[in-house]
Amino acid sequence: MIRIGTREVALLGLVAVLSATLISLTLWLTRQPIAAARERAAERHLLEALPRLADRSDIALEPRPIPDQFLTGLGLSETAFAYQAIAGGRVLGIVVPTRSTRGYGGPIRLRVGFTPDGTIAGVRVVEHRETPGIGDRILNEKSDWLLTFAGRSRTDPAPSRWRLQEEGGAFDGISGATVSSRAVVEQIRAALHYFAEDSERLLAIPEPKDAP
Amino acid sequence: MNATPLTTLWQRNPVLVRLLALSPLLAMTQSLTAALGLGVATMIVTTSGAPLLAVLRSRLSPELLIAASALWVSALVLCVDLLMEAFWFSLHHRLGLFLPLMAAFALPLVDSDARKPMAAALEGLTTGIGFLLALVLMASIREALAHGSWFSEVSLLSGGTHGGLRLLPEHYHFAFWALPAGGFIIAGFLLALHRRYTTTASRPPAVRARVTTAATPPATPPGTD
Repeated sequence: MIRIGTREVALLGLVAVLSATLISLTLWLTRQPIAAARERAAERHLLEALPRLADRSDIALEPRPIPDQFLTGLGLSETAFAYQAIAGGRVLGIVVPTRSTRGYGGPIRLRVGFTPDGTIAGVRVVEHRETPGIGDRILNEKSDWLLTFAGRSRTDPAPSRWRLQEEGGAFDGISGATVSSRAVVEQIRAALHYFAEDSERLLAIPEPKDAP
Repeated sequence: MNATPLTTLWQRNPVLVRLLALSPLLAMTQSLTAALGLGVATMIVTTSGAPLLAVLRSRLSPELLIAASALWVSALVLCVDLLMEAFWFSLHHRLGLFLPLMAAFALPLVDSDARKPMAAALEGLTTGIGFLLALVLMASIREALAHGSWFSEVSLLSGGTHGGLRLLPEHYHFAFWALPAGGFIIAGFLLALHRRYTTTASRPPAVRARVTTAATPPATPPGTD
């Protein structure tokens, strides 16, 4: 049996109060910067699909919900957002999320960045489960295959050639990873289609929410 | 214990002699930047945590002292964790789980016999520096052996885009040294080297971790946290 004096308990309580005070103070002090830092990190991820804008600090990202009728085409099931990159009152780029269910190891989630005229600015793989060393070469860090899509648009190449070479298309697949390559090409095509269908809304500057 | 700053740093080095905090030593030394970040964070906790514990040491029974130490150290760790996320976001992201885990391995590091706040702060500081030095030394060797680079992730600290030194050709990679086994081997060599240059007479009893031995049953040997 441990004998504990009142004075000791009071001291322990004091330490607890001191700890709680210190933590509350730090929380109060860091809440704003942490929220800002997290938001910046999330934006940096989004802007990776728009390489030309990635280094600019004056970009504001505005989420635009994707209408339900387009979700299936993009492989998305729940509410999803396209993001407008806005600076100086103009839309400079749009990031469209898309998800392929036809990957080799599971879904492949991509973000396709567009310039306002509908050309592809960049493609970024967000998540995938392709085989390491084979299918995962669709990742930006490991191959520049995704760079071949930059500068392309819905009409370049012609819509019938928006597929892999084996299928009579214009794009070289990654050797040994045809399934992964095909999934990516198809999904980029789907994003292009969505952008063309919904471009009017995607290019419009949204109304300020709290207009006076 | 007559611990002068130098003996705390070398003859009682928390990692190389007392074998404390081995899990962060193995996990966070694949890159010098991460090692530096974790080392500095730990140093801040050991320094700022020690004074209050020194005051409490003579006033609380051992059982309550453990509770108070754990409470106070984890509070400090949480604060450092929050501050780092606020102001060094990418480094915080890189260190991941090991920042909150600091609460576990920093606890034996702040344990000392000092009863005067200033002396305890000094001992906490030197213990922290000892930990930092061991981490930095190990990370320098390990990053060079595994990736042929030195300080390659410095951009996490400075916010720039590039940095670090290229010691070996661009394509050099030797994953073994980045894996735990490689880490253990390098740690072993460091320990051996340290033993070689520490005379037997001046070496105190190797392991001394009062808080951990008292707090956990003997099943876990002290220092392996």
